[in-house]
Amino acid sequence: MGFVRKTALPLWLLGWGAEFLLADMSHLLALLFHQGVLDEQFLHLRQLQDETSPNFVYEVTSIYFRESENLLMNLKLLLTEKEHSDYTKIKVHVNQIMGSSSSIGANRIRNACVAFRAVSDQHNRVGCLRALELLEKEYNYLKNKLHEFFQIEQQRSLAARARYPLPN
Amino acid sequence: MTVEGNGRGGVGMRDEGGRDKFPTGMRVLAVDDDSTFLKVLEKMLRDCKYHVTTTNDGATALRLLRENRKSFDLVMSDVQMPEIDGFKLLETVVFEMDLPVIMLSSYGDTKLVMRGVYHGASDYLVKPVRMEELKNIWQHVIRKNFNSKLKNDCPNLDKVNDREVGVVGNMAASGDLPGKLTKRRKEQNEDDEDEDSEDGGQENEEPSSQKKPRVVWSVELHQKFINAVNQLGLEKAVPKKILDIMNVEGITRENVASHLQKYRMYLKKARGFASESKDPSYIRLASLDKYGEFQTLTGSGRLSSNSSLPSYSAIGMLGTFNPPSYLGLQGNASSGVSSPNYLQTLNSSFTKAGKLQEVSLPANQGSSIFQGVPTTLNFNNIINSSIKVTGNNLDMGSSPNGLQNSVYSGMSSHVFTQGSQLQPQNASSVEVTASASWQGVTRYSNFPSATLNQHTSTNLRGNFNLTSPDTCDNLIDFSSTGAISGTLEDSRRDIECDGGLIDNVVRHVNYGLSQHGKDRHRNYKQISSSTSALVPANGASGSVSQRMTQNGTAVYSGVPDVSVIPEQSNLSGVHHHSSVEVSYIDHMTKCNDLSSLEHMKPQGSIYNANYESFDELMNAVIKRDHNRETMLMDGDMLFDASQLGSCI
Repeated sequence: MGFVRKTALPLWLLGWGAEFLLADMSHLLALLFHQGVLDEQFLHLRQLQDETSPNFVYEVTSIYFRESENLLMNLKLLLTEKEHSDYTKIKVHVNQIMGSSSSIGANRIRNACVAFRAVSDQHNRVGCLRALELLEKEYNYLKNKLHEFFQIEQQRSLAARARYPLPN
Repeated sequence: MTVEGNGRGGVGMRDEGGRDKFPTGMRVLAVDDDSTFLKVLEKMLRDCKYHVTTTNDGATALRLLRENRKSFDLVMSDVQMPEIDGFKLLETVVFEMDLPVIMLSSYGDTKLVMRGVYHGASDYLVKPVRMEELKNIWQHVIRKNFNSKLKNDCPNLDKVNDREVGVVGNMAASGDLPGKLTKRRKEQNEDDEDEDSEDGGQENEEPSSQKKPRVVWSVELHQKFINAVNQLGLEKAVPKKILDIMNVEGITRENVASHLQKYRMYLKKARGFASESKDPSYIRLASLDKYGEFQTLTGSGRLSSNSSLPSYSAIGMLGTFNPPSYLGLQGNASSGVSSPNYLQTLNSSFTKAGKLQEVSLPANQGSSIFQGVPTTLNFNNIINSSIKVTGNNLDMGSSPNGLQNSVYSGMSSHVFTQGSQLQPQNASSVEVTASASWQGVTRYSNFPSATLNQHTSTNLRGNFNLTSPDTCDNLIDFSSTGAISGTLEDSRRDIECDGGLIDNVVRHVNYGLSQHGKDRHRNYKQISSSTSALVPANGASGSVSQRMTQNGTAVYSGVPDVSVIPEQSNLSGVHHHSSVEVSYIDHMTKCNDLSSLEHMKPQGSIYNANYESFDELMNAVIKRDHNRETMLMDGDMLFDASQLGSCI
């Protein structure tokens, strides 16, 4: 997105597309909100971003993705490795994902965690595996969308600065 | 202790620059294995202008804290962490380092919260945490210091008693309560600091490890007390001498002291009332607004005491006499701490939209902080047995939870009044367990009416033998002043009860009460035609006696006294007040064929009589009970019954 069709140059290089990009960003966010992928907590995060922490949202979500990746991997191991899974540990992991997700406003992931917790309370292995699958699916979707979001944001900030295409 | 913003008393700001700007610069240590959340939290805390240190690891946190205890003011910790048990960490920090700890969790279920409270948490926040919540966390620091300060003051009963009585008296005289009370309280606290006041002294005298059994002021005991006081002369009666004369085992000087204090307050009140005009418009009194009707009371000018004793007029329910003010006031303030605390809480309850000053007791004390509750119960007890004052109430001070008295919010007042309606109960020594039970009650910033009802009802059930015809007298008129809104839930967050939370009970009551209108008047009328069942405060309807166990946990015992409940008891407390009133009416009806409250005339038509003095009233009441019961009342009337009308 953001390419001028004829020239195939990124809009931001042309210094034009800032508004479009902003529109894109808003559109994307609106979509995510509408889908319930994100909730108002994400907006709070954006509000926290200020001069002292200009990249706050990006930093937080990066931490989130990194940690969640680990947790999901651990969960998979816990559920598949041994005969009898350690449901206490599973619960702790799920709790943590749930906490982080709610902190950044990842609503659907959080809901998936709630479901996961319920199943793990029953020590239902199959149920847990399914819940994990759902969790991973939601996680990947969010990850992609947020990456997209940050890309646009980056382009937009560049576009805002670029008034004249630079020679190199 | 005054909140001077500089956090004196141990609040973190050690550096000069930050001193005056508390809560700015408050030093927070945040512990959570969730780095994402930690980062967000850190940013939010920084935005609140706190100093933040974060760590993923509980062990690191402990190390940081141990290295320098004074380096932090507040700790926030997740309770479910993989490597270290959040609750253990919580306990360690609270007890070893005496810092307020706020729990964090993704889950907010009751059990977890309860556990947290038991482990000493000052608060419990559910993720995601909002900015608004963080803006107020500094209160826990202040509160903790405040409580510690109170507890550390050494007891000095006599001095404190006299002074407190004096203070209370002063306050009674002044019309402008809230500010003055608060001010006086603060002054007193400051004085107390220097003079080994009894504020919290009771707690020192009875460290949590030595919970004494509550003294129940039975009729006989009280009689002895009265005899001793009369023998010595009221002016010269000091607890030590009284104790000697009484020559009873199992009572400590503190018990006597607090009882004496209450008695003095009561007398003061009674005398004050005796001189009031005799307008028997107790119904008018009934129109307390949900804040305990202080306004009404003060407005009417009937109460000689300041509005801090609103209950008295409020009690008007049945237009009974007003000795309660004495009781009410003192009921909670059994210990030296009581008066000022109580009054203060009363004031604060009125002044700050019912937000009562919270007193938090350390977790291991097992006493929960409850606001505004119990006074009435005490009162009830006292009145009921024509002075069957349960030692519990009176002995609040002597318990480690002496502070709890202060927690009683303004509701106490009307609780008292309501209590006053209780006829002296023959048999059971009404235990002031009510107060105890309140200890377990969650603190809620609302008005007493709700709690009162709850407690009173429970208490009533438990303590009074409601099944007997006499019990109709015992029913407390709950005409709640409406208020307690269902803030129990809200206040749960603020719960600082460390032991025996009886928030369920309170909740029930509150819900029921919150639906209560302000108009007692109306309620009464409604009651006469309503058939709502008497709703016990909690699930255990009927004779639920709340007892404070050694560690302050309120224990409900007893089986619902079905006979008391005219109809299906609505345990959800929806119609609490009306139930209470109805049940009262029912009882009265049973007893006296009364059809409506206004026409209620208990035997002897006490309510319609125009008693010149409280004494007469008391006599009448007692006589009536005496006729009915086997309760033995000596000639001495313990209370000067103020004129019925003037009670209002």
